[in-house]
Amino acid sequence: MSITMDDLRTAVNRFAQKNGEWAGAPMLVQGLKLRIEPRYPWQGLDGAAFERDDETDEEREVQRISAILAEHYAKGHTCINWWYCFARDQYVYVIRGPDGKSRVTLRHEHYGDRYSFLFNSLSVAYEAHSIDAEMRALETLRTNIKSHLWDLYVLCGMFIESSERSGITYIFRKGRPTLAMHKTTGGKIAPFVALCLHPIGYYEDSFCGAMVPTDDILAHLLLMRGDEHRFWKKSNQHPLWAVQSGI
Amino acid sequence: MLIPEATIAELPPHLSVLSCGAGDLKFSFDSDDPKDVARAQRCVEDMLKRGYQILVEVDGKLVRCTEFDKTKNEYIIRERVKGKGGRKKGVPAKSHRAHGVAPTAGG
Repeated sequence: MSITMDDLRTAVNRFAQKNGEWAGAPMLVQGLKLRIEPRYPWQGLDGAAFERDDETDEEREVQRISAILAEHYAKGHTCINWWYCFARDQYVYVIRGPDGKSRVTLRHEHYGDRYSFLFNSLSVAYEAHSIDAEMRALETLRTNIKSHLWDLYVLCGMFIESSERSGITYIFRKGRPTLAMHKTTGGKIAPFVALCLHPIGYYEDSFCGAMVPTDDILAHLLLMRGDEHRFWKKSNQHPLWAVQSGI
Repeated sequence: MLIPEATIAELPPHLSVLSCGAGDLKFSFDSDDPKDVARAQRCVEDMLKRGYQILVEVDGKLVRCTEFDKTKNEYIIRERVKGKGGRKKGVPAKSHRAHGVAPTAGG
């Protein structure tokens, strides 16, 4: 008898609820580490993944950058530092050559970063998320928003709602961080930050949380309506140019 | 499979908890079975201890629940009073929808 991912997921969540975890437990996936909220009782899941390698995050970051730069530099060159320059709207890399001399390279963002996020999100959806859970979450969302917003969500995976409290307008997006928008001095409405937040935890280098995407949207929507201050306090606020913003 | 629109407005009040694997769990305080009610009470008290956010629909708005009164089956919210900060107020669980969200991590 073969065991499917659905069977495994059901067993994990049944075990979690039996032990008092009402929100269930996240599934591990291949190669993508889980990041768990500090108050979640099973902290052993933090940093866990199937077939995880032992490189540190810093080592992986340097290797990733080196791989990108290998397109333009011969062997023996290494990246010793990098940052984003807002003035130039480019990444700045400090490269040390085999002669020991350092030089600076400017580079626009590589499409590979965005592609990795997309592909990793696909992997999480396949291994960790349940279609039944998503359908139930869709039903719950439908009872919480107006019908024309529901139509928009079905058609394009997003909808807009404004906060009466703060005047900020939010675009809630399926599988992506929520965009916060405000009125500019010219009177137009423009996004200024992307808010990323997941109940229980999320998978590194992806847009996915421990719960299905519509549950993430529900969490954002309910917290924005019920405790907007906390919504901002708990979210990671990504600049719009970052890969993590999902733009 | 989706709830018909006409039925949405008639949904009985319940506590809906976002959950991995299940989409969301529903608990009712309006059941004839005392076991269901006891389970719902246990769920709310336990969730508050574990740091869950319980948001109650009151007069069309969502308000955070800080405590639960088991004897009266009421969510305790903080009601804003002008010039006096806030005061505690009990909201019957039987007649108000509520949502439970697990502790959240920035992604």
